[in-house]
Order: sequence, then C-alpha cells, then structure tokens
Amino acid sequence: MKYEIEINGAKAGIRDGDTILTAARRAGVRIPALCHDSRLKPSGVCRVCVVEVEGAKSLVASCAMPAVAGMRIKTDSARVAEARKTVLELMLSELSPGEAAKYKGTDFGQLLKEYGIRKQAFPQKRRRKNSDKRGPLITQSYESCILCRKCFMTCSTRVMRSVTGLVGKGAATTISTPGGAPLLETECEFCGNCVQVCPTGALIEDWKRKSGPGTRRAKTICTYCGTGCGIVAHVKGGKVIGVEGDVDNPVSHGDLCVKGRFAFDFVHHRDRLRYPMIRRRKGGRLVRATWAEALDFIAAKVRDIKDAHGPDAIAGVSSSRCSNEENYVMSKLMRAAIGTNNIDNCARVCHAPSVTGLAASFGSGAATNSLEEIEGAEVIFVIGSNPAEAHPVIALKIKRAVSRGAKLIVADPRMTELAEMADVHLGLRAGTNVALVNGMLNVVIEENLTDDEFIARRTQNYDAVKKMAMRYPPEAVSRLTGVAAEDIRRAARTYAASRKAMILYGLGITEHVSGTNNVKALANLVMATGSVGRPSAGVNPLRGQNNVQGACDMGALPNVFPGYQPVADEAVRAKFEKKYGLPLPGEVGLKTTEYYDAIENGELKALLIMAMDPAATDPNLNRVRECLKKLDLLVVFEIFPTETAKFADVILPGASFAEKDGTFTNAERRVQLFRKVINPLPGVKPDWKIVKELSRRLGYKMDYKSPEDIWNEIAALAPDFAGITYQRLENEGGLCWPCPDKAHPGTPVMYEVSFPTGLGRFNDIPDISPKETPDREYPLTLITGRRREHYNDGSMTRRSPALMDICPREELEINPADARRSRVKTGDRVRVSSRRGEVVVHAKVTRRSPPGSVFLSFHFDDVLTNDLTSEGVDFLAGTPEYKVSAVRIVKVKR
Amino acid sequence: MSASSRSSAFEAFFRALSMGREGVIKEIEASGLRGMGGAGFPAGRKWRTVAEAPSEVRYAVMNADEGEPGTFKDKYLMENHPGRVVEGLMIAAYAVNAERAYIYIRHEYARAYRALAKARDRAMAAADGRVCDIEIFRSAGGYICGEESALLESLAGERAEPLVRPPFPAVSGLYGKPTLVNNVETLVNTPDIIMNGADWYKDNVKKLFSVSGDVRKPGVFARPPGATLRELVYEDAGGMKNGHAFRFAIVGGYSGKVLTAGEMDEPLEFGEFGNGAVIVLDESRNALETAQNVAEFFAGESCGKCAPCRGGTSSMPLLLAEIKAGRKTGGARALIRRLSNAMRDTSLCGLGQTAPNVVEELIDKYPHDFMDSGKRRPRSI
Repeated sequence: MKYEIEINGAKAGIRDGDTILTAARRAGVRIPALCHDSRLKPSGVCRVCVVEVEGAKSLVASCAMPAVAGMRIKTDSARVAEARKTVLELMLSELSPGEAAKYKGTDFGQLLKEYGIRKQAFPQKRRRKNSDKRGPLITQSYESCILCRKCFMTCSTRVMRSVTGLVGKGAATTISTPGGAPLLETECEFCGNCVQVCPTGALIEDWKRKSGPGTRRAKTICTYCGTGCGIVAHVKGGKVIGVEGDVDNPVSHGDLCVKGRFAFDFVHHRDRLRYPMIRRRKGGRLVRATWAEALDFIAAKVRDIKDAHGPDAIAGVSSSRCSNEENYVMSKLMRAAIGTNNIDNCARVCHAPSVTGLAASFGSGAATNSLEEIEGAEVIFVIGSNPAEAHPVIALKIKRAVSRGAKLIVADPRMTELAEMADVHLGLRAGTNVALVNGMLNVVIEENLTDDEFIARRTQNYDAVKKMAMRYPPEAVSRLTGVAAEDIRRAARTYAASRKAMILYGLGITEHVSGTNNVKALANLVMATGSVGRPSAGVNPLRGQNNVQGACDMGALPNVFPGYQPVADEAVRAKFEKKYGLPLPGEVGLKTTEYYDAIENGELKALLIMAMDPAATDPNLNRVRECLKKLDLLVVFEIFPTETAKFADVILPGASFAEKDGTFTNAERRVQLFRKVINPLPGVKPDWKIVKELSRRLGYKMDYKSPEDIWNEIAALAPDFAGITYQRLENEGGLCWPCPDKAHPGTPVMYEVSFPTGLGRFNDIPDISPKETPDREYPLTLITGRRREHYNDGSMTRRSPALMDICPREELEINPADARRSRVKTGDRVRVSSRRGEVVVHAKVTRRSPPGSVFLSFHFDDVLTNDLTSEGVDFLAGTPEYKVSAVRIVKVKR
Repeated sequence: MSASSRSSAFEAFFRALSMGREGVIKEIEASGLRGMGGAGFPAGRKWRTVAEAPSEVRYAVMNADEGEPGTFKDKYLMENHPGRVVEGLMIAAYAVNAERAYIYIRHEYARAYRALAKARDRAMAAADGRVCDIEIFRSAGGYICGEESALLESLAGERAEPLVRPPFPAVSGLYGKPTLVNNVETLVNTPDIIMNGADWYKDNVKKLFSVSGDVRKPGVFARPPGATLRELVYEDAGGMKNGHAFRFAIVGGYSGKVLTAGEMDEPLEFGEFGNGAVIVLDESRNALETAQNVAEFFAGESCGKCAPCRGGTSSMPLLLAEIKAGRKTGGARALIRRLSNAMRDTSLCGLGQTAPNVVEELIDKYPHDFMDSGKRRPRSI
C-alpha cells in the first residue's frame, strides 16, 4: 500500500496494477460490474461500473481505469446511480421481450432489482428473437445476451479456442459460432468456462436451465484427474444437481474441463451399488447382504487364510480415487490388522516410475514445481503426455503460456493438439524416450549449454553421465528414434536457452519397460542445464488420478510408510510400532503387478481392492481374469458394478467423493480439503468407515471419529505433512508438502537450496527396447491413452448421457497410409488383435496417429483395450508397458 | 496555407533531417500546432510522448478516414496537395522514429488515394531510405474508423472497435506499440513550420472549414481561429441559397454543436469548431427532421461495443419518431434526456459521448419543432 486514493470520502490504499475497481473492492466498497472478470483483460463494455472521478469530464469505467494516487472518487453519487440505471435499462430494452423478472438469479437480474428496473423502458426496433440452441450440455439463447463479451474472451484468451465471436454491428451485434453452427460442429471442447461467466443466462448449463441453481452450494475438489481443480457443487433436495468452477481455487481459478464441470451424473446414478453383496460359495451367485454379514464374512475368511497361509497370503490394493485418510487407513489395515506389507495402489500402473526415478535423482519422488508456475515458464517441454485430453486445465495453462511467448517442445509419437502448436514436435518412435532425451543431453553438452556451476555445486556423478551422453550424437539418436537430427538439436537448444524451462510428462514416459530410466533421463537433462530448484522449472509428472499422489504419499506402497519412510528402516518402524501398538512387518511387500505371479503360484490367496478396476485397466486382461477367479477371497469396495466386481466374493458399496470429507493431493503435491456435499446415499459407507469396521472385526481397533482424526495421526507420523491441519487447509486453500511445521507456507518449488540427499544424482542409464515391437505378424504399434470426455475405465463418465452424446464410442485412430493398406475407412469395424487377445472397434482415419501406429483409449467396456496390451513391465517400478504393444488389424465384414 | 508552393522537392523533410528528431519535436512544440481532427490536442506533446515511449518499435499513422458528415477538407488536401500531405507524415515519422508509417484512407476517396500513392512513391525515392516506408491502407469504411483506437484495431486486422483508455495509442497503439495518430490537416502544417519556424506559424495559424448545406458556394475555406460563422457563410460561401434566411448551422459535424442565427458573430475557437465542418441550414428546415437524420446516422454507425451507445443510438430515432407522430412527446423527451445524459457520461468512446449533442441542442434551441410537428414543410438535408 504505497499510495492512497479517496473513495466516498474515505482513504483507501492502492497497489501496483490496481484499477479503481480493484482498489475499491479491497477497501470493501462494492462497485457493480457485468463485463468485469479479474481473469480477463478489461474490455470496459458494460459501463455499469462507472464512477465519478474528481476532475474528469465524464464518468469513468472503474474496471479499466488505473487507480492513481490522489484520485478522489465517488461510487454512489446520484449522477452515478442515474447513469447506471439508464445503462441497465438500455440493456434490458435490447433483449427479447420480457420483464426484468426473467433474469432473476443472475448477476444481471440482481442489478436490475437493485436499481428498481422492472420493464423495458426504451423503444428498440430490433429486439432480439428467441433462438434457443439446446444441448448437448449447454444452451445458448443469445436473445438474452447483453454483449458483455466475457464468454468469447474466456474462450479466446483463457481456453485458447475461438468457438464464438462477434457478428454484425451496432444494435445488430450478436455472438455466434461460425455460420451459427451447433457447438458439436465447432472446435468447442465443452469445458463450459464460457457458461460460468455469463451474467444473464444467455449461456446456461442444461441442468441449470431445467432445475435452476442449487439451494445450497458447497466448495469441494474435482474427482477426476490429478490437476485438483476446485469445484462448487450445487445441491437441491439432497442431490448434486450441478457443478461450477471455484474461482478462489489456487490451482484452477475457476477453470474446469468437460468432465469436471459436467460429468457428475454418476453420483446419483441408478447403477450405484447400494448394499453389500456376498458370494458364499465359489461359482455361486452374489446375493444381497447386510453390512454386518458382509464384514463378518470377510473377517472370518481373512482370519482363516492368515491362519493357514500367513499374512502375506493376503494383499491390498488401495485407491487413487479415495482420500488420503482412506489410503492411510487401508495401508494401516494391511500392516497392523493383517500384518503384511502387501499394499499397493494404482500408481503402480501409472506413475510408480516417477517415484523411483525422481527419488533416485533428487531424493524425493514427486513433482519439483507447482502447476501455477506453468504460466510463468519461458520454455515448456511436454513429453509423453497429452494434457489437452488427459489434463485439460493444465493444457489451458500451457496454451496461455505459449500465447504469451513461451516456447513449446512436444515429444510424442502422435500429432496431439499441443504437438500441432509446438515450436518443435519430436515425433519419436514409441518407446525410444531414453535415446531421445540422451540425444538432447548430448547436444546440450556438445554445445556448452550446460550450467557448470550448478553441476559442480549441486550434483554428483556427472562425468559418468557425460561419457554416456557422448554415445548419443543426434545422428545416431535419429536412427533410433526416427526424429530428425536437426529437430533434436533445435529442441535441445530451445530447452537450454532458458532456466525457466519446465518439463511436464505423463504416462508416455512411465508406462514403458524403461519407465524409471525415462524419468532419470529427464532428471539428468534438468540437472545438466540447472533448470531445477527454481520457479517455473524442474521435472513434473502430471498425475492421472485425483489422488494418485496422495495414495503414494500415504504409504499405500509395499516399501514405505506415509511420507516415504521405508518399512525396512528399523528406526522408522519402531516409531510406527509405538504408535500402532504392535510389531509391524519389515519386509517389503509385493507390487500389484507381482500379485498375479503370486496368485498363479499359489502364494497369494486373498485380495482386498478399494476402488480400483484391474479387470478393465490392468494390461493383458485374460490373465487378470484368470487370476481373479483363482483367488479364495476377492473383496471389492466400489460405487459401481465394474468389471472387477463381477469376480468379487464380497462387494462393499462405497461413498462417492461428494458424500464424505477428506483430503486429496494433486500432481503438484498440494493437499486440498474436499467436503461432504451431500449425505451418503442410503446403504453406502465412506471407505474409511468400511476399513475401520473391518479392522475392528480383525481384532485391531481404529478409533477415528472423522477423517480429520486420521489426518492428525498422519501429520504426527510423517514430517512432510507435520504442518498441515484441516484448519489451515480451510483457511489457506491447500498446501504443497513438504510442510514441516505449522508456520511453514508449504513448498511449491522443491530443492531451491539443496536436495534431500544433499547432492542431486546423475544416473547412467541404458536405453532398452520395448518388450514387444512390431513384426511381420503384428505389424502395428498400439498406443493407449485417454480421451477428454472420458475417464479411466469409464464407469463414471459413461454414465453421463450428455458426455456420451459428445463422445459416444471408442474409435481406433489409424493413419491414412495404414488405413489404405488395410482397406479401412472411417466408420468401418475392425478387429484389432495382439498375442494376448482381440477387440472389435470402429475405425477413425486420422493423421493424429503416425504411420505404423494406432491408438485406443480404455474407457469403454465394449472395447476392452487391455485385452491387447503388453505384458512388459518396468524392471524397477513394475509398471506395465501400456504404451507399446504389437497388434494387427483386419476389417470386419458385415 | 502558406503561399509557398513547394511540392515535389520535399525540402522541409530534408531540413527536418538536419534538425534532428529532438529539434523537430521542439519546433513543433514551440509552434503550438494543434490537432485539426476535432480534439485540438497539442501535436508536439503527442509527438514527444510517442518518441519517448519505451519501445523498440513505434508507428506513425495519418488518419485520412474523413468520416464526419459535412467534412471534406482532408479530401481537398490529399487531392490537391498530396506531396505536402506525404511530406508532413514523413516529418512526423522521422521525428518519432517510426518503424513504419501508414496512411489510413477511406475507400471512397479514390482520387485522393491515387494522388497520395504517386506522391508517396516520389517521396520514397527522394528520401532514399532516410525515412521508414509509408503504406497506404484503404479502410473498408465505417464512421467509427475515424476514432483512433478503432482505426488502429482495424489497421491491425481486428474489428474496428474503440478500446478503453488508458493506455493511449501514443503509449500502446498499433500492435501494442507506441503509435502517433494525426489528422491529415495537422500533418500538412508541419512542412511550413519546419521551413518557416515556430514563430512564423504562431502568427499564421489557419484552420480549414468545410462549408456545405444551403449556401451558394460550398467549399473548403481557410481562416484563423476566432473566425465567425457569419464570415464563413457570407464572405466565404457566398451567402444563403435561394434567397432563404439562415436558420441554424451544425458546426463540427454531427458530433458537434448547433449555432443559431443569434450566435453567428461569436468567434469560433479550438474546441468549438471541432474539425471545421459547417453544415448550414435555412429557414425551410425542420429541427426535428434534422435531429432524426443525425440520430439515424449514429444508429447506423455505432459499433455496438458498449451498452449505452449501442442501446442509446438505436433507441434515439425511435423516440424522435414518437415525437414526430405526436404521441407521448413529453415521455419521449424525458427518455431522450436520460439517454443523452447516460451516453455522454458513460460511453466508451467519443462517438457515443457526442452522439446526442446535436439532437439535444436542437431540442433546446428549437423546442417548438419538437412539440408541434408537421407545421413546417418537411425537407431533409
């Protein structure tokens, strides 16, 4: 507060960049505005925010006028009030015939009421005609549009698309898609961010048009990907009827994607599991049971198996979809109540190599920087990730950075949306990441682009890696990867040109036999250029599920307690034994990918799965199904009858994210509170309560009254979370760990001073070929991934009718050259087979797929893509190689 | 205009080069040259702001989108003195160290365009790389394009819409770079100032007036500020046509003001004569119909960006029509008053702020015409 202005006779401080509006709002003076949005450049078109500034001839639009020291401002004089009233009346008069009451519940309607405006006072020739365009998801009725422009400015400057724009001039001005086309025929991605900013309801969610806004609103966190966007749930009659973005959320600032905003139908879907079910005999039917029956049944079975085969015959799968607290109690159940370290979570099939690879390089296995920093980066290197589909809100941040001049490098075999806009697109052959990144390191070293001071002061083992990198000159790498040597050079130079260079990667890095090595290769590159330990830099895995970071953080891993404290460490174990009050196993348990071997050779008899669907999402499903059948006991906590649930001996109906409290930790290590928005549906229980009750039956009492109790125990045991409390999360809106004490602000940027292990470690790494490469029999490479409209096994998103309107079915993406060879056209049905299985799917001919590769997602239960996927696993992390499988295709005759 | 008839030698430009950029700006500042497009802003101050704005790249633009009804002085200058017009822009572009200069000309001015194109080619040859390129941009039209930020938006390929200020174009204009925008008539004065000096100019300030309407000899006339309407009508334009008596004049175009017969001898100064358009109307004219004509014009030319101008300009003709029909004239007048106040006080750019001026003044000065319609023989201008 350097200077002062005077507002309505009272002094108010101003800050750099303040407009009159922002200064007034900070001082608690309300100025109405319709076209203002703090996230957009002021357009100053609605003129409702006008104020009187002493010395100015006319009134001044406070949203656009910089606050200058000494200004004397009146925000509520008669002149101002009269001007606002007339402007509002003029606006109302332009709209389709109707009284002001029509706009009740909107920002515009609120102002009309405030200024006592009830009818259209001014004559207008061209009152706009009604022309509703309804659905999918969004209704456009521009006859109610006051042309505040926020919708298309949001679209063009924040979503970086131009779905709509202005047409016509003067009173005939209107907003339209090109040629008035329906949204489905435009490049609209249905994120609905335009709808959220509309002040009149000219753009409105279909749900809101039908049922109006909720009678109660509750802030919580999105349940889909690992971005961790804030949402505001609208509740009416005890039901979640809609979702909007939470403008105050520090990650998303109100942005959402199509799933986050619209795919909430699943919460109240009639398919929700509502009562426990038991299969009393193998081969028998699942029958309805009470909670007591189901839990007693499980407890008895578990005890029998433990008595007969020991605790390690039982294994747990924890869930990236559940809260930190639930993951913690699940791993505590396995370790304390059952006595085994056989606990893992679905990070095993996605980002486990991030944990192993980053820990080996930096000493801690998580993202080095926060997502907010993307927008400040000068170079963004996206490798093995398709954020435009899998993390749409992160993609918006990337696109905004690019529009401000950041350079974008994208390494992906496919021509993804970001690859199209990249400065350099490295279209590598699938599975050749190590060679590519080593090639870039080679150029960095050869051309003296290294940060020698950083290397000398902060790292070790550089010389060995330098020697290794010398074996990867761009020309040689070009032969291995299929990327032109010159592009490798350009990418390396571009990347090394700035220290504000941020690497973002996804499952295209980790889901390979060389997953961990891929991660280490990236860590080598950032250490060589010194782009780590500073803002807008580092190596950042984009986590796929909302709480996959948290599931790992909470110790739902076979080798560590919460906060990555090794189970094999005596001192650590002693601490936990003291807290838990009993001896704990010190031997590292099995990884989920090892579970199947253990089941096949008879060592593993029982599996407790909390909210995961391996029978749809693990690779090589035929084998998975055989294994699940072979178990003596399969328990599944689920909200829907999934593929896996079909094999269960006991199904326990869990509560969805909307029905419980807890915390999620997003991809940037930010712990965020999510809140119970509605009561659990009748018959279901939050997973933490299920675990608690099961634990008691197994003879180990858990005394938690609430998730907060559980969190406090975690914070007491894991130093990284020691400073985080529910109270702080509530007040401060999320904290990035490490947060060692209650005064600590959290750590968005890691390793600014040092690495946890002191020095960062360069790792010498071999490049290994994928387990299975195309051959004459199976000539195509199958790459798998996500689509924007759907999520994981699809059990939640496929239950949204509107999302199914937008993306109704799975399609095999195939390059025109390959399509021609197989005589396949878009819309044809093709049989895709691998050595492990086959699926039949519609084809879509597109250049998104490079020649020789085809693409499938795994969202649809009628196309179980994982029947095809490879058995290759990363040697260190055990993560399957989903990204490279050899397949062949045949057109199916009708 | 000074008597010297230099045209092709670009002597003033070369003298400017020898004075240095700072020398030129100082001379223009000392001359007191003011903007001739209507606002009358001191040109030297604008030049200095652009020249000193922190940027690698700057632009200079000549606003030749003469769109104000009743104005044709720039057309006259460009058709008859294209060399001097171009030379003025060269001097300005040099002074502010522009990367590129533009002549933004309305597409209807075909003859002026051809003349300028020739003069530009001569100038470029004569300058031989000592000044930036001059590009002639033919506007697709629209009154709003004369507003400088809308002009620059249009030049950059965007919708021609004005922007909120600040920032002013002198700080952030074309492509976000500091940009000098001057009217044709402003720039055409600079060669004389450079050749004859600031002191000479101070004694020889002239303004061009475009006089049209019910006069015998419509045309462009130069007079020093302080000239009266009577001089312009009776000395320059040959008096009233058809022996009719003078009734009123619209001075400064449709966004200007109304002068009655009783105001004919008041000296017209900067800030009063606007861009110098003088539309003269005789006793056969009905003020209500004139107001309708003006209102229709603005309804057609509002860009639609801000709410008060969009809604106000489109409502105004309908309110006037209600008065003309003799229905609820009191209510309509009250609405016009409210609408005018709001437009003047809240519109985003000058178009909306000034659009109600003439209508309001006609109502004030000829209230009779707005109460009792149809008594005068209707004849539209």
